[in-house]
Order: sequence, then C-alpha cells, then structure tokens
Amino acid sequence: MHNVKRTRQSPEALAETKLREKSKIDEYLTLTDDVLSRKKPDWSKDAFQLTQSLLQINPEFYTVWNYRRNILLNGIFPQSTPEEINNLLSNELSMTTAALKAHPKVYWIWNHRSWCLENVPDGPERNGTPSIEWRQANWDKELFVVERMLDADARNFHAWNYRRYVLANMPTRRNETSELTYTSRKIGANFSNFSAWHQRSKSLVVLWESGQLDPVQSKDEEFELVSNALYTDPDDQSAWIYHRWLIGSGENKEQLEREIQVITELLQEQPDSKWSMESLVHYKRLLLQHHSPDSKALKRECVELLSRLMDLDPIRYFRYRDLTRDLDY
Amino acid sequence: MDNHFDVIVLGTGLTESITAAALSKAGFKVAHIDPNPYYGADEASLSLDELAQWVDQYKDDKTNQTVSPRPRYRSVTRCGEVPPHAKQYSVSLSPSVIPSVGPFISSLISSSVSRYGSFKLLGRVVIYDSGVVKDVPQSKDNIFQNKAMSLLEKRRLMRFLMFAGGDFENSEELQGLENSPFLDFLQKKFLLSEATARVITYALAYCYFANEQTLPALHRIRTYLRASGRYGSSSFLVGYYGGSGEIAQGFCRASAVGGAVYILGRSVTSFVSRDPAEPEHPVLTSDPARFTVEVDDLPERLHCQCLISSTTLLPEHLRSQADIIRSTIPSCNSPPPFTIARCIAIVDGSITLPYSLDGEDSGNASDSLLLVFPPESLEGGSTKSAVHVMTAGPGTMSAPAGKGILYISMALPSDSGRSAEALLRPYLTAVLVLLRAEETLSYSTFYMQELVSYTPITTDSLMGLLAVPSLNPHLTQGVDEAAIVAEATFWKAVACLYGERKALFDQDSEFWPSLAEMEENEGDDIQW
Repeated sequence: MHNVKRTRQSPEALAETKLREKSKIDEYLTLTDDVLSRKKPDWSKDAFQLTQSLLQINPEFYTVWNYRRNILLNGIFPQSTPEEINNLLSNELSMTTAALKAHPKVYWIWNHRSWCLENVPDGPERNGTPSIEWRQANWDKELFVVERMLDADARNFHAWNYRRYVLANMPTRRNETSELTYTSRKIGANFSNFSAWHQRSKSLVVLWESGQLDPVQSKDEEFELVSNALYTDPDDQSAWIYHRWLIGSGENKEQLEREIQVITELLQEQPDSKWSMESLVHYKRLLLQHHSPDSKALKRECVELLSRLMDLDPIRYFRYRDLTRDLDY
Repeated sequence: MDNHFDVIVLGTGLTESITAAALSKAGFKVAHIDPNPYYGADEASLSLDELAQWVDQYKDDKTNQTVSPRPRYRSVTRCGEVPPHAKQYSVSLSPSVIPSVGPFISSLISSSVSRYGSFKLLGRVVIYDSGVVKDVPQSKDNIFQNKAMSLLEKRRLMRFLMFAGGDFENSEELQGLENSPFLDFLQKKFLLSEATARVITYALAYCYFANEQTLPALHRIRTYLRASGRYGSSSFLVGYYGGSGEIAQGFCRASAVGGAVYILGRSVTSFVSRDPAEPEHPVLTSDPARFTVEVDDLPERLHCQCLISSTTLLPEHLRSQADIIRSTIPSCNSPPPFTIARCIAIVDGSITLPYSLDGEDSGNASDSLLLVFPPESLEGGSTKSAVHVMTAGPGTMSAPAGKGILYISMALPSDSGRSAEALLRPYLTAVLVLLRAEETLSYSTFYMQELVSYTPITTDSLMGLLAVPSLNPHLTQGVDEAAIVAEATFWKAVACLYGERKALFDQDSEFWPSLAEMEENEGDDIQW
C-alpha cells in the first residue's frame, strides 16, 4: 500500500498487534454474518444501520452496497415524501464524499453516488409543479467535487471520465465554450496531460459542428497552441498525439506542409527528438498518400528519417525497417 | 552565576547565533554576548524608531572606535520623518530570502527554530527592461504560456534549464569555461538571445556583475531549480517580522532553551588570553581557562576554553591571531563585491505591482516581491552592477496595513567615488513610479555597507579562538552561506573542546540532535 511505512517490530509487539487485529477481524466477521443472513427480504431501518457499519469497515463489499440500495428502494422510499427522499439521498452523498476522502479509488462508492444522483426526485414544488431544483443543486455540487479532484490531480482520468458523465447529466447543460476554457486552464498549468487535451478535442468538435467556432481558424489557433508545447518539451507525448489528431487524415495540404516545416525546424534545433522524426515520417507519408504520390524527394526524406530512427530507437528497429520497405523507394 | 563556560560567543548575528544554538543543544555551556540591546547585530530586525536611532548613530558617528576597524557604515543620509506606529514595522538591516532547499532551511528545520517563526513564499520575481517589468519565467508552464518568446527561444531556454538542473560538472558544454563570464557562456553555448541571457544571469542566478563566472552561477541556478515546488512554485521563502534578524533571535532562543546565558546591551571591555607559549596540559578538571573577558558593568569576569566572535567585534590584536572560518560553497559569487550601497524606504501606500500579465488573479497578490534591475537597464543607473529591490509589507507582518518597506541594494565591484544616495536614488524613483506610489514616500535612508574581507593568517592561529565573517549580503545566497560557516565553526569548536568535555562528544554526533521519532498512528479508522 502507498505511504505506509515498513516497521520492524519485536516479536512481542507483533503478537500484540495480532491480538488487536484478531478482535477487529472477529467483529467484522460477526457483522458480515448478521447482514448477509438478513438479505431476503429484510428492509428494516435496523438492517440499514448495519449496512452502514459494515461498509465503514469495508467499502469494497459491493453486495452490501446493493443491499443498502434495495433497502432504500423497497423499504424506505415507499414510505417517504419526495422531500424526505431528497434529504436521504443528500445524506448518502455526504457520506460517500467522506468515504471517498479515505478511499478515493473504490468504484463501488462512485457507483453509489451515481445511483443517488440519478434517483433524486423532481422537486421542490414551485407554483404547483415540481421543479428541477433539487437535481440541479445536487449535480452542481457534483461538478464542484470533480473540479476539486482535478485540482488535486489534473491527470486522474477517472475524474475526467466522471466529469464528462456529470456534464452530460446535468439538467441544464453547461455551454461548451466554458468547457473549452476549463481545458485551456488545465493545459496552461501543466500541458503534460493526455486527459485535458482529449477533453479539449471533444469540446472543439462540438463547437465546430454547432457553428460556434470556425473550424479553419480554430484549428490554426490550436496548431499555434500545441507548437508551444512541442517546442517547450519535445519529449511530451500528449502534445504530439494532439497534434496528430489535429492533422487528422491530412486532407488539408497547406496545413500539412506548414506543420511539416514547423517540426523540421524543431528537429534541426533538437536533433535527437525521436517524436519529431516519427511525426515527420507519418506526415510526409500522408502527403504521399493524398497529394503527391509520385514524389521521389518525399520518399527519400522518409527513408533518411527512418534510418536515423533505427539508430536512435533500436527497440523499434524492425518497425522502421518495415516502414522503409513499404515506401518502396 | 558560574562564570566558567565552555564557549563564549560574541555577537548575535545570524551565523554566530546558529553556532551558539548548536553548541548549546549539544550540551556545551555557552555564554552569548552582544553590545547591542537587540538580537541580530548587523542583520537585525528593527522597529522603525530603532532604525531611525541606528541611522542617526552612524550618520553622526565620528568617533574612532578602538575596538572595531574602519566604519562599517558610511555615506549615511536620511530624509523624511518616521511615520506613526513605528513599532508595527520590522525593518531588516540585511534583507534576504531563504531557498526552499539548502543548508539553511535544513538547519531551521533540524534545530526546530522554524517553529519560532512564520514564513511565506516569495511572490513574483520580475526584471526591469525598457521601463516595464516582466515576469521571470520560473517553470515549464511559465515558459509554455509566455507570449513574448519565440518557439525557438523557448526550446533553447528549456534545454538550458534541463542542463542547469542536472549534473553539469562533467558536461562537455562546461569544459574549460567554468571561469568564463556566465553571460557569454549562455549566448555562445546555448545560443540564447542577449535578452534571455540577461534574465537568466540577473534574475535566475542573481549575479551582481556582467563578468561573473559561470560555474558558481550554475550552482546557484541548480539549487533554486531544485528548490522550486517544495512548498510552492517559488524557490524562496520569506521570513515574517523582518527575516534574518527575527530568525537569529529564534536561534538564540533555542540556545537559551539549551541552557545558554544571554547578555545583551553590554560590550566586552577587555580580552585576556592565556599565554600561548605555555605548553598545552593534558586534560585536568581544573584546567585554567584559555580566555577571560570582562564585560561592561558585570563584576565577575567570564572564562572560556573557546571564544567565538564575529570579526567585527574582535579587537585588532586578537583578530590577527584568530582562525577565521571561510565558507567553501561552490556557489559564492565570483568575483565577490567590495561594497554594498543600500536604501531603506518606507512607503505610505500599497507595494504590490498591478498585475497585467496572463490575466492572473491580483486579489491575492503577495506584497513580498523581488525586482531586479540588470546593469544598464535604467537611465541614470549603474552600467556595471545589478540592483536588487525587495518589498515587504503587512503580509509578512513587516509593516502595518496599507504601508510597506522597500529595500534597494547595489553591489559595487570597487570603491565608488559617489554617495549611496546618488547611486540609488534613480532606482527608488523608478520603483515608486512602477508601484504608482510616487507621492507616498514617508521616510528613507541611504548608506554604504563596507564588506571587509580579512586576509587569512599565515601563522598558526591561537587555539580556541574562532572568528566568524559578516553575513554575506547576497539576497538569495547569504543565509545558506551563514549555515555552512556556522556548521564549520561548530565542528572546530567541538574539536577544540574535545579534550575538556570528552564525555559529551560522541563520535557519531550530528550538527543538530535528531528529532525524536514520532509515534506512528495505529490503524486508520475513519468514522463516516
């Protein structure tokens, strides 16, 4: 486990620890027996309380999470008003927040949260009709939780996934431009972040398709942004992968040639940049495929680059050799 | 009071105080004396009225003091009146910042003196260029987001920073160029533009002069790069209540807790050393003392086996026989400066720079800023020396709300014919314009601080007599050097006392006794 120091203990101390642990183990086993033997169909408040005690000790016991949800659905909700249900679910949400602080990667806690959020009833009543206020409030808080997590670790792809889930389920959708700004912020703070670039690509597609951003100008701006990353750290893969996505199939000849020039200059400045060479080969082959299939110059340039790559990156020697053969120079 | 001590320390400057604390905690009997009524000596933190008194003393000081050499402070001028609430200001006579990684912060932590003070991260570091200030890029993301640098320049700067942060000692880029001027090295070997080379030289390596050597500058940069991120993005911490003086007092407190005796506000009136011609006796419990001092107004004389003093407090006849501890860190500025021109200005207004770059939130702007003027950057300013400006305000409890302190310092490579005020006034004016605080100056003083360097003695030094040089005035280097000198002094003192107090000295002892291991928490039952 992380952050747990290895301690060398004397035999007496070890025996003591074993004794203390034994009593905890016994407690746990008794509790488990009690809960599991109740399963069908005990929906009492008593059972509800027991599941809480058990889950506190072992939050990965998913059977008991299921049991707890069943108790809520079958035992408690049918006897509650929408307001009471909302309060119960809010309570579940605070409980899981505390649990997540201690166990941030347990899928079953996240599951339970999602279930709670999806089951928040419509309410409260406004002018005689149920509003979406409770749901809105809970989903807003959820977004806030995700943002705190991403502030703590901007590269946590679970959190980014969850962020997409929350944004998709919010009763009133956030506008995509604000999401683009969010990715800008995260990338600005540390551009070595696959998830942030990925999220950016998703936002851009939505904005291009909806007409809010002009694809041509926007792409040019994106090339400008990613070049800064490439030049600042040519070893960072996330920027190269984003660049490759921007190029796409290479149909825009002018863009392709321009970017080849940019990377060529980078390679001149940093002659050992493997990714620069690799990308140049890839992009020149796109040029060959789509625009100048007969160019001997391009083929020769690719072969030269591949030969350098074979020296620089010997573990991929055979791949580069295969690519050379495919070029048929 | 029992007047036989193992060690007597003269002067409560930062270096001497660290040594006193270490010796006291190691179990030696220490007496610590300072002629001033405050701790910190030449790096003390003074309230504003104490500062005014200090300034007036040196301004009018025509006495030929027999105990100390030529005046350490000269060309002293002052202007304006001391504003109200003088006690709410903490002014440092030697402003400095603490690198987040280094011997000084390690000493602060290991000795637990860090608990006596408060610290915060230094805010922005900016460099002055053509009338405006520019942020100094400190990290990869700064460089990435910088709109003023070309792509190529970014690549070259990153490559240099990677080089400087790694093991450059045996690198081929450095071979033969260790003593060459750093500015040239940057432009020739890393193809950096002159503008970028200046930023690195003056605002990352904090060089004073254009001809400063490469190797020490690289050492400094590496230290500061590695310090970045430990507590935050800045490489430096700033101490509350005026920094060094407050910290010196903290070490004295630790020393007193270890049993040391403190005597402030009294001078030593006579020194007697045992005749060095006498052969050293083997260990006897009633060994006669090596040194005896008489202190003003104290009836009893004080005796010790080891006398440690700041060089400024030793009389001439003893200083020529003392073992003056030199620092041996590779990052000392080379060539070293000769004199420092200083200015302390009290401002009745805000001292934060209005944020203009990258849309950053200026609500939490720090009032501890570092502003560097490279040589030839200011009309009417110096063409040879860089100038460092530091601000201090209510954020570090150095001034009351709405007020601030400006520290300006210029190192001079040789004796300058001009007064401190003539040299520094253009910079004060420029800074006030940048802060949009032209009309808010309430009190200011200018002075020259002599940096005396004593030639090493050629004969054997007197046994047990150790002298500690003045604190290096460099903004970022000074405190680390103090810690290194203090440790070297400590070991020399211990070696000299070894015979007398054998039981105390354990072969494997460390500079600071190790902190007690903390109890490990059993289990983590978190109730939720």
